[in-house]
Amino acid sequence: MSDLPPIPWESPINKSRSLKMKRAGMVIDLRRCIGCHACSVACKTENEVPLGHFRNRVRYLEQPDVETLSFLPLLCMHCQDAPCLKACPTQAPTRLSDGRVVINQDKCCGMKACISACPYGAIYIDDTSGRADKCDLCTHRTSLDLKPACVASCPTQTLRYGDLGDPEDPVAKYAKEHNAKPFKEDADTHPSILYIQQEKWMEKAAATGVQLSSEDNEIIYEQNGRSS
Amino acid sequence: MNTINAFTPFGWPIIIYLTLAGLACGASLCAVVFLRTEKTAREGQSYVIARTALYVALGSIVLGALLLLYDLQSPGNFYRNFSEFNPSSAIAWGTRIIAVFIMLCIYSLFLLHSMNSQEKTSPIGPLLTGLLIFFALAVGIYPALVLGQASIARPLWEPLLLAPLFLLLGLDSGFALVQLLTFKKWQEDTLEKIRKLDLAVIIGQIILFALLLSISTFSEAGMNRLLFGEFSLWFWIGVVLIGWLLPFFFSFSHSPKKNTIILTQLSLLLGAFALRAVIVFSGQGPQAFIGS
Amino acid sequence: MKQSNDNKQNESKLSRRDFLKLGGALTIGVASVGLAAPLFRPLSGEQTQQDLNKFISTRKKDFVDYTRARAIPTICFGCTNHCGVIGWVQDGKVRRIEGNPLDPNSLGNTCSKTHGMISYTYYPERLLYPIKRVGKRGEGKWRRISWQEAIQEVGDRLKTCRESGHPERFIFHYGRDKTKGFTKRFTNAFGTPNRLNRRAICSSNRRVPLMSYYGRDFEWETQDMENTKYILNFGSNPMEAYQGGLYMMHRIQKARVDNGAKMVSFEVRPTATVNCSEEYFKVMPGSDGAIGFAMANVIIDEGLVDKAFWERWANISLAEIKEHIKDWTPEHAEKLSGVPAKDIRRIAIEFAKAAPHCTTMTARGSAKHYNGTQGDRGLRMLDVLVGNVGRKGGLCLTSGRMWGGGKYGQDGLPSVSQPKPKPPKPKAFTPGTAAYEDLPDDIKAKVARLDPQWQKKYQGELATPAEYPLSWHWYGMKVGQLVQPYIREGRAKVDVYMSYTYGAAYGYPEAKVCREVLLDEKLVPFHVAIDIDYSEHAALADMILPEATSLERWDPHSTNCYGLVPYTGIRQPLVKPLGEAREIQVIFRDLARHIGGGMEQYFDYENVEDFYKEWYKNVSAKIPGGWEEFKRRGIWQDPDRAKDYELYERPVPEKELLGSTVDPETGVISNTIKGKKRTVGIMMPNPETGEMEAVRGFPTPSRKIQVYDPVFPLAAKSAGLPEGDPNGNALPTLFTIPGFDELKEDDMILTTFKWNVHTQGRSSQWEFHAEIVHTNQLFINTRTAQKMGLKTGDEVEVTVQRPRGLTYRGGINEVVGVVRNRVHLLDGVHERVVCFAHAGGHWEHGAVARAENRESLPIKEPDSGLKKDFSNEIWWSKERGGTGNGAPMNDVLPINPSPLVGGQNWFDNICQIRKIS
Repeated sequence: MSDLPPIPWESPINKSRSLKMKRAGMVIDLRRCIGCHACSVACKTENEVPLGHFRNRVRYLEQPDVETLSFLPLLCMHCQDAPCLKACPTQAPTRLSDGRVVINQDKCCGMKACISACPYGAIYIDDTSGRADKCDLCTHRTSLDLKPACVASCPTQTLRYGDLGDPEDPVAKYAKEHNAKPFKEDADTHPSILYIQQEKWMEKAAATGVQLSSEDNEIIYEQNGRSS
Repeated sequence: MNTINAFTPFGWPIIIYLTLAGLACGASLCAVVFLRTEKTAREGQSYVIARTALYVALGSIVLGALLLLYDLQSPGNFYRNFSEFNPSSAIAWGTRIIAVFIMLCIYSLFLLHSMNSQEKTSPIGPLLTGLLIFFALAVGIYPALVLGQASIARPLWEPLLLAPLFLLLGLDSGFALVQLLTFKKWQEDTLEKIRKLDLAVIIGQIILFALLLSISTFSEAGMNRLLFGEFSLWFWIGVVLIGWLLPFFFSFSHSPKKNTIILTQLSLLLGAFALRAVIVFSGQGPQAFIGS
Repeated sequence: MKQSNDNKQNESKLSRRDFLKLGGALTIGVASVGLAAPLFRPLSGEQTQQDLNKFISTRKKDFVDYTRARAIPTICFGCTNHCGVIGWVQDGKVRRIEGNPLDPNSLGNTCSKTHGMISYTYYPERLLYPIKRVGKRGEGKWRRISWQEAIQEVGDRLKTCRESGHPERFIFHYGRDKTKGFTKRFTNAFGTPNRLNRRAICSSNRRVPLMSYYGRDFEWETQDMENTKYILNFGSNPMEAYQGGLYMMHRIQKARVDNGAKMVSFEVRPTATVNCSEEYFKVMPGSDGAIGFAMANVIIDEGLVDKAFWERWANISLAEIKEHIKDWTPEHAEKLSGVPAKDIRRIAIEFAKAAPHCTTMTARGSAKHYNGTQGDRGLRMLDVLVGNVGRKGGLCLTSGRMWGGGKYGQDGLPSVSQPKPKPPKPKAFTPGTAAYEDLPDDIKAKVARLDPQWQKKYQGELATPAEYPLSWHWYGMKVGQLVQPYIREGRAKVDVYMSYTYGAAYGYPEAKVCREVLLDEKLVPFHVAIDIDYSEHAALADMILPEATSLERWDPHSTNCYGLVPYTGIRQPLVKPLGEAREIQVIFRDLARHIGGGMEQYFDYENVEDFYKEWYKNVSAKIPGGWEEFKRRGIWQDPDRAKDYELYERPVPEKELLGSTVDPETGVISNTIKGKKRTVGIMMPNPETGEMEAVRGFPTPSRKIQVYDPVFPLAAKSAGLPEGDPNGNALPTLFTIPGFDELKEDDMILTTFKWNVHTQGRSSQWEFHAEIVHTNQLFINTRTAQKMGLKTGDEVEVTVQRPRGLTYRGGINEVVGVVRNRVHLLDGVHERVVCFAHAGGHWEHGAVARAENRESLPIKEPDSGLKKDFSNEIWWSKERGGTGNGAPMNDVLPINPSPLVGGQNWFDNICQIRKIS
């Protein structure tokens, strides 16, 4: 009888936190996405995101030339040239050593400058705290070498987390091999989230695409909103 | 419109604030103009106008600042605006500009009030005047840069065009409000001059706004929404009819009757407000978002 | 003096003014410097970097801290897949679920639904205490009772029922029972055959072709997706809502993206699977079979049949089949389905040329029709024709679930079976028994008409409905949607009705019938519901017992493995049951002890874990570290075992050949095992040497693939179907759904579906899932809608007609129901189809499912440790200007069991749509 495989999930216990990457990022392979929302729900459960907001969401987009739909997961792009960092007067959005952009809750006064500046609609105000919040690539997980919640729960390996600053990193290689590009490249913010097989028409559709109901569109599926 | 979300972060408090900041800018510049153009005497008409104008400026900016405070989602953290400074943030500069501007207004008013009735020279010297002009312009322009900082995400908010437009709107509405409040003190020829200026202001507004809309990155959907969608009433009635057509029509009418002038100034004020509302609201929303 | 005074005055005045001026200027100056001070700090926006630990310290205090959370493996209960998962427990609460990478089926993947377990476990309106109704039934008035009182009352009633000599009057009706036989232990010990299920709602129509062809349903067929190159998908949706879907989705995507496999989908709407397909064809509902027969024709005509395979394993000659299907050409299929004949030809050829690395994928879309069983039999033929069955990249059959000795393909696996002693099976209703004599006369006549093999197995109309012999020929699939109508008609009597996590009052076709029956205290004198939350079904009970959720209890698990190596896993409690909720094993143990009369001997355990430890003793024996190590891993698979390819070619083990007999005509080998005569294999010539060998074959009566199956005419005769009815054809047969050939211009077909974030009808209270999908507007083709003057968001009225075929109330010209809903236009929907999603329009299940900003649980105690009440956050509620929770669709869908099989024909609903202005 062969040896039993090792148990992977027992590793982070009592570990100390560190960020080892040069440029933490993600590659999203749209050829694999099945629109299952596992990433959104995993993220919301992990981070206890209040109802009405998403750090990560999946858009259903009607394709322009055929009768089928495309799926597009969207989240904070962790721009290397991040508009939120520039816009916030109190320096609540900051960068960690591996390049990820996080929001320091202590410094936020809820002015929404970052929200208005973000070309990806990635930031929301958490009503329970009154502070801006967004995806931080699950720093509390990734600093223990666990994958971000969304990546860990993607059933088709659409989302891949890795070091885009290390040419030897498998995810960086995968990105290069498949010519991964930022979403909304025109925004020129140099995101660390790259997409494989994204198409220009999706940019337009993404703003008005639905997760489900067109009727909900005006209330919520315009990304993070909630009626006040 | 009462929804705060990633597409529509800014609502009515911000629009009103923008209008008030514009008023403060225009009114304080108005004060400067009247303090410089005539020999000032405590009872002189220019003096009264200048004093009123400074009160308007101070009142507007304080009210505006309170509105900003109200719009904060975590007002308890307001002090962070002063303990932290991000030089690349227009708001960080703006906060300080407002603070200095408020102090300048208070100090100038204090000087005006404490001046002697016989004094012929303005108590507000060239340095203070210079500072007032500088900070008044800063108060008028920086909100355009605040919106402009979002122009990657929201192409309508092109700062290079918004800055002169906001300044124009500020001057226009500031002068208008001061004029309304001190109507009786104004001389005929000044009024006539202002009427001609109004025309120029309207034409300037139209040109700048047209340029703004013609920015290539502003989406067709956003344009449709502005012109025919949910903001079309604000635009066609608030901006075009009240803000532009009415004052335009009045500026050609002969014999500046009191009512005409009051109506003109009122419509200019409302128009400036409506235009800011239209710019803020139709610059936001998914249809106006980058890529749409 | 005066002057000096003046001077003084001037001086003092000046100095005061100067002082003030100076003061003012100074203030401004100092303030400005103060304001500007941070300007000169050595940092600027872009360079700002924050320390990791400082950032972590600013997070919400109760974030999931993996340095101290405990990870415990278990089995997911988010849907029917049951993937191995890891739950992270922090401060006594399950905070997060992730895939268990040791699970060979999911390979560590999960979908969104796994997080539903956290939602339902900590749902603020979860049931935590036994409650008893105080008002009228269904009135919603309850009082809290103790467990002692609950067990006393239910136990007394059950005891009376059992001792009256009519144990069959205890009905146990479950929605989701994944105890793998534990509840059956209870009903068997009690002596009732009426452990009723919802298989007919789910999958009977597509299991019967599988069982008819291959002898078993093997839980499901197991396509070797990892290695396939070509997938023909007929109405199956593994990317969203399909048994085994999760196991298939990552394998399909890998095959497509990395290995260049092609998937062609025949569907009525752009499902996620369609959106991942290389080609999509919209088909008229109920015409998938036509395409199958047409493709079979093409494959035969083009000479692409794997003749060696067909001749060796099919139980009918190719010539006979060719003759039988010759009229069902691609052109004929085009007429019925709308798919161009040239495409059918092209795809059939592509499919056959990819053999054996090709497979069909059929499901409810093809099978849940009046003609679906026969149609699916046609589709199943494609795999046999191209010879992909059991081969790498093809349609495989694996030994499947729960390994017991003697089952097909399970040689060498440890036997996993319930602890002894095991209760005997309930007795058949043979003439002379009290249960038989209790039957109404017309039913007795129906039983008399049954074939003797079925008469011997007959156990009443609920467990073994006489008109649907194929629903219990292979095993007891039953016809769940007929239970309530049959009770109403007096075909069965009820003393105690126990529902177990069951939602028929909301989720069954014509759910109103179910509600009427449940509300009638003459028909159902006592209804006890066991559930985790206040469902529509539980709301009609006399007593509700709160059950532990899947995060709080034990269950064994095993299913067919898409990696083709059998495995097993264990669901174990991560946390203690909240409040006074109890595991079903504890509830049944206490009830059995109260009822007594020998029942208690089957529930002789104090600790539930001991029971499962015993159940798994043979697996534990295989693991170094035993039971504890098994619990630590959650999954066990024999790492040395070969994949289940071509099980049918494997030799019959020596011990089964000892004393066996061979039928000289058919070569079928039979033997007596455990006192029963069974077939164990078939004599086949070795493909190379030509020598005859004893191989397994398939577990069918002929040990071959039964393309021809005499059980259909036999069942038709037994059920009294008219002579020549195509449902009773021994060969796969094409026919149209009654009524579909005379559709009027404005008749539409109403089809149903499930969203990927929902499961069955028990997920609408999961807040994060409901947030994504909470309404169920009708999807309709854009052009069709425009012809009707409809645009997205318009409200319509849908009127559904009674079906015309030989089914429950079939052919009665009446409207089943009318429902209002809004439409959503979509190009990808078939022109004649409207798609209506399940999971909308709940009126129970609490605030989230009802989309109301107020709680609705009848009794709630303050302690609990549940999530905070988020009834103020339901932004999609109508009060908040949202869309609300959609429309309940099930009341307007007819009860429509398929002839002989009983599977609900979900997609045959002829309806009319009218715009409401």
